[in-house]
Amino acid sequence: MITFAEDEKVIHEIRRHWYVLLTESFFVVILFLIPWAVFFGIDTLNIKLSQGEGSLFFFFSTLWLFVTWIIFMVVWTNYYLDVWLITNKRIIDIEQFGLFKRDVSEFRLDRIQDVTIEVKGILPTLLHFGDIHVQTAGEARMFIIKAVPNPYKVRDSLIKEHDRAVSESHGLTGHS
Amino acid sequence: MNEGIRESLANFISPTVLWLVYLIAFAVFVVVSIALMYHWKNYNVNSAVGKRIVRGYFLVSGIFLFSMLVAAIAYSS
Repeated sequence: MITFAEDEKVIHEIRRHWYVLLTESFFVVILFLIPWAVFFGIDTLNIKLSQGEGSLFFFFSTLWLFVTWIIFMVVWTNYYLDVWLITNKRIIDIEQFGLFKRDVSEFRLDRIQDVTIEVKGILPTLLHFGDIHVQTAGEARMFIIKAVPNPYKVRDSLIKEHDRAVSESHGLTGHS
Repeated sequence: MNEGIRESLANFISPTVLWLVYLIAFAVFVVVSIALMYHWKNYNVNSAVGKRIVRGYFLVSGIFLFSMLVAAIAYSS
């Protein structure tokens, strides 16, 4: 669980682009369509079902849809909880790997040294998403958030917040 | 042959089997719901979105479970 200081505010919640969710849930969509395809197949071939057979078909179709719905919710939860939180003090990087594994790392905004954007490929260019690499002072590790929507806007926001945090840490707020 | 398969399918799947499948589905739903609720409650930053998701999840799941229940009752009768 993430705890915030009293004077800490979440400025941005950054998640991966919806395209990522679409690709991750693509197989779920295919699974979801199967009972409908079977239904239209039965209808097209004019197969007559008895009341018992109809009930049986309806039961297992609904069960199938129910299972795909649950799988989708698990996929969506993984997507939704994988987030970068930019507060007025720090950046929190939460990486969700399935339901039972997550990494949480954080760094102070004033420690940012370098922000790099990588937009690679046709779809990321057309749909305006890309990776943001953040290098922090004294850290060998590079923080990466993948497939961020509008990465240039996010970079500008990061740099703005970094400047503000640096000013505050040097006691320059209100003197510039 | 087609008729034979359909007949044997109807004989194979007795109402008891259907109710057993329903109970297993319900048990899986309970376990997954507990795991999802735990995550939404503990790791979600935006509580308004969390509430909407919980409502949507249980509403849709309820519709599916109710539909399965109706189908199982219709098959049993």
